Amino acid sequence: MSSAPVSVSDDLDVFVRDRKVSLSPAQAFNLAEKLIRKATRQIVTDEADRAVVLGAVRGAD
Amino acid sequence: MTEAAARAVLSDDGETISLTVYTEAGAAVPVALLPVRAVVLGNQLIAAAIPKLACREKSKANKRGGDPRAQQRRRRDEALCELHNLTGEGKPLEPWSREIAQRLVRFQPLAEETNPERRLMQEVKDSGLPIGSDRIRKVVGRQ
Repeated sequence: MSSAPVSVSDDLDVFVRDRKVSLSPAQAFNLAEKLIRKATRQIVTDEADRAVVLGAVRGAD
Repeated sequence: MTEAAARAVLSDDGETISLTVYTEAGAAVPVALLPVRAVVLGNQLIAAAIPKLACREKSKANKRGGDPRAQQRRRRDEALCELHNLTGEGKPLEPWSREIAQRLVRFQPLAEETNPERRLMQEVKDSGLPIGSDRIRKVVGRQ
């Protein structure tokens, strides 16, 4: 899967590689909500995993 | 050259956040997003969408005189936007607008409409304003 940059224009066009999707404001808010929810969940999970690993390492010392 | 795509879908398998755009023909272009990049992209989308909403509110507030059918127009536009929220979310705007325009031509209101979708269609019809697929697309596209 590509990790090519994704960008957003002021006209709510989302560019993914050579493709463009035009969104309405409602669709943009909807997509933004999903992006932020999923990303937040992952960041929190990663942080929790890291804390568990660090705890295990410190416990072994 | 940039090719227009029909929709963008976000997925998440617990490890990778993927944004996939689909063309009308069904071809998919997936990209992986780091969580931080996904947050930035979400913020960019919100930042770009807010002025559109503010613009719409301003144009509503500034309208005075001039258009004798402004009220009907506003009711029709609001009904169309609600209809889109009800039946068009996630669908490409152009075919949805065509479908609604065709259904509005055929629409025959019942004595009492209880179905929300049909009630909104009745509101659009009751405005008495001409409505075609291009107009529907423009009205809903502004929302």
